[in-house]
Amino acid sequence: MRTLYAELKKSRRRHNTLVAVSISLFVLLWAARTGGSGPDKLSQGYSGLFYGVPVMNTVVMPLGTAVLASRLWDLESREKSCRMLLTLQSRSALFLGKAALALLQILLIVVIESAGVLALGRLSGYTEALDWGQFRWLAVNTFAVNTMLFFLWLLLSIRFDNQVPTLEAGMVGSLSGLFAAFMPPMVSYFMPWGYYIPLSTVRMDWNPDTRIIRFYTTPYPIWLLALTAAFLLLFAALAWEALKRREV
Amino acid sequence: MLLSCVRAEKRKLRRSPIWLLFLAVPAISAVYGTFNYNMNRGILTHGWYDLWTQYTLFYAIFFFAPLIGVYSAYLWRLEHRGHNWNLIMTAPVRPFCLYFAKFCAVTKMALLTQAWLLALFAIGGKFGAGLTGFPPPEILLWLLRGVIGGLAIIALQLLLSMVIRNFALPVLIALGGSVAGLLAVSEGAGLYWPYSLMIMGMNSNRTEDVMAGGIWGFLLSCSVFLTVLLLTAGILLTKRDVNA
Repeated sequence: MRTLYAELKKSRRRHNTLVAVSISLFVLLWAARTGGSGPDKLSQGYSGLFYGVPVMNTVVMPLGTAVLASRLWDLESREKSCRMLLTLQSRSALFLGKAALALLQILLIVVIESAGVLALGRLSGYTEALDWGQFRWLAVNTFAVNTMLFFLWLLLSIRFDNQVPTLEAGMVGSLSGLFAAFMPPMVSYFMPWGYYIPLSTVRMDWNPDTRIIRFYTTPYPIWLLALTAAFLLLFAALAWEALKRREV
Repeated sequence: MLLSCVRAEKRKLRRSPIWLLFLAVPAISAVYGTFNYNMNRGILTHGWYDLWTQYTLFYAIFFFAPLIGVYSAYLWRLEHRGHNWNLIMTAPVRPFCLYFAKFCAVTKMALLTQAWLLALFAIGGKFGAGLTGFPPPEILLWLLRGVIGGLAIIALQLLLSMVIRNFALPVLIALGGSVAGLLAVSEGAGLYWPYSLMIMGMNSNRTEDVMAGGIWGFLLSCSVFLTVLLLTAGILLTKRDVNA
């Protein structure tokens, strides 16, 4: 708690909460403008959101989480404060403090995004009943993939010190993750930064003759969520190793 | 004075890690564009024009502005480190020259990025998609228009990176601006939002020219945004300074 409090103090006036809020607002703003208002659209409103939000997450979140990780570590690397800091606190405390703060920020992103989905449904007057199972699944997998990516970008931030590679990797992650969504499903399994889309259980069927879109669901890919969790642990362990081995 | 500053910026870009991004972003777009074009040949019947939409749709909408954001943030990042800000503000050059030299450097990078995309487009179209002939001349015009539309983004990102002493935040703002830019274009308000201008200039989601007959409005909008942003940067640097 003390380390987390120290991290919160360090983040004062850095507007990190505002950054986290704006990441989810980018997605919601986009989602709000892509929904339709016809009776057919309203009758599939939530399904459309559950299909569209993971695609939007794939564009916004890899870069967004790279920004979060970069800002958290930049604080130390920029002023070269690691040397002094690590004489006052253990490396594990520093790592746990940063991880806890990041988890809070990611939780905030997911809570705002989920609340936004509910609000969009109410405001647009969707006639489709909300599937709470899909709603919870979207929240859980967004949180899991965001956390996994955060540790991956934190690893790069600690490893390179210079924040350019982290941001570059975040951008390339966004771009390649988005493209993987339009390629055979097998391709997307090799790109963890794009897991938002294969983890989604809502699929779209577009009939080119009638131009009618129908959404349908597939079983929850529990194995992919387990793989995401495994990647999360792997990246967290690698980031911790990088911090442990860091020369000050 | 300005030439010395431009030369200094050129040196900063030598062996810089941003060249990796310069190579990667258009290359990923090219691989995806060629693949998707080949997969959808049944419905994509306009040859080079359809291939162009596949190459540039996501590149122009979501990734050009953050790419410019990284170029700009990288150039200002060096000035924000240590006591470099005090050093450059006491250098015997007009403060605006520092900004304008970076503007020239990023514009050059943007031109090179577009040229790299064109090279990939020609190679991918010829050998990946098996298209006959050469890319139509309109493509060159659209690429150039993309750079003209991008000038406002370059000026804005440089301004943001100058006042925000953080590498990552201006890049995130660029992504948010791009998302808003997409919405502005879809609402027909693209000319009033700087991040939309590049999307419109590149003609990235249509096979026919979306700006046929409307080029003067586009050029006027680009000029207004550019003038306002350059003036703002000049005023900030000469009258107020940036809190470093």
